[in-house]
Amino acid sequence: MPKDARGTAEEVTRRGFVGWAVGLAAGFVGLVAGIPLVGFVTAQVSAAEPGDFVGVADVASIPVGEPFGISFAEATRDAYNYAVLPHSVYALKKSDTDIVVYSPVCPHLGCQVFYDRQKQEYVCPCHGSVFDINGARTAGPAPRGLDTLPSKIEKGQLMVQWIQYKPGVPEKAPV
Amino acid sequence: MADRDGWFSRRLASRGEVREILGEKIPGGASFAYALGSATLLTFLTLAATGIWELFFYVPSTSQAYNSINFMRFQVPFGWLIHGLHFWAASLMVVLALLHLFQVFVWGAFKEPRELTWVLGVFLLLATLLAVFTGGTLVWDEKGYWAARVGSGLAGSVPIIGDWMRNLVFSSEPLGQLTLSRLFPIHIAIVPILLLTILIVHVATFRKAGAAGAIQHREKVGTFWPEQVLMDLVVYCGLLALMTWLSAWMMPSIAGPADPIDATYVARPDWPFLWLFQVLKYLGGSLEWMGFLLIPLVGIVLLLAVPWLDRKVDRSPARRPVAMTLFWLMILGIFALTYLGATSPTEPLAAPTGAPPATPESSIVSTPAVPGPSAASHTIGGAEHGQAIFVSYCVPCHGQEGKGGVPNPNSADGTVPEINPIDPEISGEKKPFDVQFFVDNIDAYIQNGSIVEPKAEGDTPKYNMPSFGNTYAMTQAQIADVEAYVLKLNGTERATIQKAGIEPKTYAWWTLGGFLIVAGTTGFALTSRRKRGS
Repeated sequence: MPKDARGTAEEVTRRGFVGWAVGLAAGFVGLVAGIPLVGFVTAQVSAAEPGDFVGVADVASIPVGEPFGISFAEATRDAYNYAVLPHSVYALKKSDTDIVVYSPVCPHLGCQVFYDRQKQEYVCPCHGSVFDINGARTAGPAPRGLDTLPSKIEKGQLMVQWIQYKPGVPEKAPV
Repeated sequence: MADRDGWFSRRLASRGEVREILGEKIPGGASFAYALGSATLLTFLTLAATGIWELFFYVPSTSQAYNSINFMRFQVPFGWLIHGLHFWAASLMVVLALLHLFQVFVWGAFKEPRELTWVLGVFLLLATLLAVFTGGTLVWDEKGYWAARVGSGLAGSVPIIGDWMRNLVFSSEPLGQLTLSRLFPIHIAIVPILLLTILIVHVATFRKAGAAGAIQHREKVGTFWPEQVLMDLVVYCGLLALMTWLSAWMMPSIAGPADPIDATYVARPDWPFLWLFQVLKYLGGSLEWMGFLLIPLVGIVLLLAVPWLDRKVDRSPARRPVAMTLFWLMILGIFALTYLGATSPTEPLAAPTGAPPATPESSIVSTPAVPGPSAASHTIGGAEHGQAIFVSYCVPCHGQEGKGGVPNPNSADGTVPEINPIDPEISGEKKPFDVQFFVDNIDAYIQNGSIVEPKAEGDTPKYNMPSFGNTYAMTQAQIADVEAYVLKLNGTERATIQKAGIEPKTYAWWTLGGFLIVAGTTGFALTSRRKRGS
């Protein structure tokens, strides 16, 4: 059998086989440890559950024709914490039976928009998206208009269901 | 490697250096007997990886630590495995380090010029034990809390420097947030960095002197790559499969949330400290600090001094009778003490005997229940400890194991309702039970109590369900534990995995199958090489 500096050809092949077994064992470790390590950090753990309708204001107290900021609190679960969290919304009352409620979360990247009464438009302080009084986008990088929230009127009370929508995409979809 | 023009090797370790690392000489050739050191190292790396991952969910706050861990274990995909691996790897690392130390001792591999490697190894063992102790406390469950409490008490009992030592590790008295804020960085940063630093020097000194090899001199000399690498790696594969198996079939138990005023919990340390726990039983009073400090300290000094106490050049254990006798005596002693500590009797669970007194008015809450979920209903209690609390608080009225039968004069039912089996309106008809629904319903009764329907109008039933939560008769931690026990009586586990990622037992079987393939291939590769290569 021909010999070279590293041993017989057969020995070199066998050496390669042991090396191949090392690769297999390393692959096993990579899989058994890798699957949980990746799955653990990439899974969506607690999807926000849509809350119930919450009474936020007397319909009579909301002015007509101009967005009206309303803050309210809701008992929420944040992973293993249970807390009462504040939310704020804008309500645009057209009549006593027709009120549209807007989420102030900018559909661009999730900053909080504010209503500029002078210019009669919503402005996002982060990247300058602008929305008109009906929530339609007029300028800036936002991919869609302001999101409306489910609302209804019961016994003279405006009821709102708080939902967080996914920012950065053209479609309106819950997070 | 796509490094044809040597761009990397001019900037990184050169091929020669890599070859030197891999070409480490192994007298007598590669052997599975030499895998213990690397197995300990790889288990440490497992702990580092899973430990860092646990930090994505763990919160070092006394009010959130326990719930954050349970959230991670039961709500996060693969949380059961990440936590299980961390838990079992900790025990495994202690076992492997001890076996490694035993082997080096028996084979006389600590002798000149390897004394420093031995000394560093002893320090590594101590750092590992410190990590085990501090890690257990971070859960801030009954077990962890009481371990910290005993540790703090022991530290404080040392003459002169006691208070200083206690403040250093446990910060505040009584134990609380500041304690956890201190144990946390000790566990996740200080001890691991210390361990890693000593480890690097330990391996460096080992490489400097070279592997000791077999006791009997053999002509054959093997190299680290590839056979020893394969053997080390396959042993670790087996350990990884074992840890996965344990994580799936023997999940770390739930001790219940920490409760500083609960006198019914029997504190017992993690197994590496059981022997010390037992020693402390024999040395009470002013001798306490001797058991805690002097005995371990003498033991550590003796261990460190081994290379200088046993200086004979001969490595064979047969020719070192004194050293071997002392060694076995010490092992036997520690084993015996550990056994005694693990099996020492606890207080038997006995319910108060005789008829319970009628429910006093003051224990019935007439105000409406506090709205929203209680702390107890969203905390996973420990059923085992819940049983002890159940025996003293619930059995007098609800009977042994909640099976009922206790008469309740003037009530519509005539007896106190049994809770084993419980009214399906409380547990829910659906099987398997909706755990949270079940818990919320029991919780309402335990927190607020309830007025029993009388036999006839105007009758006063002897017993009403007292309020235990709103009157502070029981802590929220105790209520959580009792709820877990009531669920268990009805055949349901309070702690159930909601999101597994992959079902634990399925994952364990796949891992075992994968390991068998790896082991088979390894066996084939090694035997064919030996047969034809020799």
